[in-house]
Amino acid sequence: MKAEKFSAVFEVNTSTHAQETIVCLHPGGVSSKHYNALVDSPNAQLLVVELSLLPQYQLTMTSHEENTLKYSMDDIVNEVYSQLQKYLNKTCQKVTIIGWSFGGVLGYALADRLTIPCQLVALDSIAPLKQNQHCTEQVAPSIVYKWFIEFISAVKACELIIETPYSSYTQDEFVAMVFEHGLAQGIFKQFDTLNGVNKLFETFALGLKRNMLLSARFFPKPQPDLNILVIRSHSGLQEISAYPNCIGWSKLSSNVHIVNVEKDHYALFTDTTSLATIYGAISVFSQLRLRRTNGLLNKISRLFNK
Amino acid sequence: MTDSGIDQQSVQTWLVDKFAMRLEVPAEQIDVNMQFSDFNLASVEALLLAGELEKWLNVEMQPTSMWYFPTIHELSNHIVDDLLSH
Repeated sequence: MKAEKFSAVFEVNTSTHAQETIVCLHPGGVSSKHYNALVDSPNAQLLVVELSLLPQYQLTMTSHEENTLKYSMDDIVNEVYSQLQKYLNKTCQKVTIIGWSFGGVLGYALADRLTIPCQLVALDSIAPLKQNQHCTEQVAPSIVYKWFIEFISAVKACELIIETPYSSYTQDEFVAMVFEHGLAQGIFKQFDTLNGVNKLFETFALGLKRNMLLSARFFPKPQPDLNILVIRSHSGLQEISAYPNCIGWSKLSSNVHIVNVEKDHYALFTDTTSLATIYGAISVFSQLRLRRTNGLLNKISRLFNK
Repeated sequence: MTDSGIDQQSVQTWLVDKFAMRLEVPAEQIDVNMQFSDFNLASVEALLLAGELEKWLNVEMQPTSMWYFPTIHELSNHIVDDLLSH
């Protein structure tokens, strides 16, 4: 299989004798280049895992019709773990896992798999709990439409403004409207086509469905001592009414801290102010010793939640 | 060549022209054997292009096509040999 020649792990920053490794689990959608700013931590090895290059992730679902998953969360985490072994420094004593969206859920599974002490940054990621399953198993089309508009705005670095009520639109009507508004607002180019935007939406929805099904069928055990920094966007993909603040992570760990950033799920990755807040919070968080350090956690709170 | 008269070279030329347009470089600078991941082309742009290609050739590409066939040359061969010939 040709896919086997790909490595999903990219060593963005090499620090031969580094005692800390930062592992970024990137599920795609927006560019992973945003993690490069983390090389400001010169004493840490920085690895970015492009999940789209993993056969177990990419081939999990290739059709909307099927609801069965070809691979499970365990398959994916095993592959990530296996590939990471080739890169992790022998001197590494601590791993900080940063996972955006689905990457946060996978990061939680990876933290349980790694033998090196870990901590997790769950970047606008919903905790994999049975109580959250209804939020991740099925999503109304109108919600997917809203996310797609936010996604387009983020990747094109220009807010797509749509004032027409679209919640009752069919998929074809919605995509045609997005294309029309995108062209008028200069977000799409004159050489872009409706078929191209349709393909983009189809792929977006397919990836979303895959990630949601993987999360909804993954029920991990608690890791009470795992330090988890939850970074929440201004408007996350889903509002979790049962856990409005921690998005469920406090059910899995007793050592959770929360930082809020402006912008939505996608724009937090492209907005410089949000990125500065995220990197600042991660920088402080990565100084945590791997045990309860509530004093330092409170410091994070004071810094970023004023 | 397929019944429609489309061969590997015409698909490859189409892709080269489209990549050049989106990357805003002359077509001569597009290496057909370079991995897609090495072009500075955002995945969103690649998908917009894939949708356009599907319309042109009336085929459906799997989301994994550009991943299994990661160069313009390999993808052109795949389209003509596997998609257009059926």
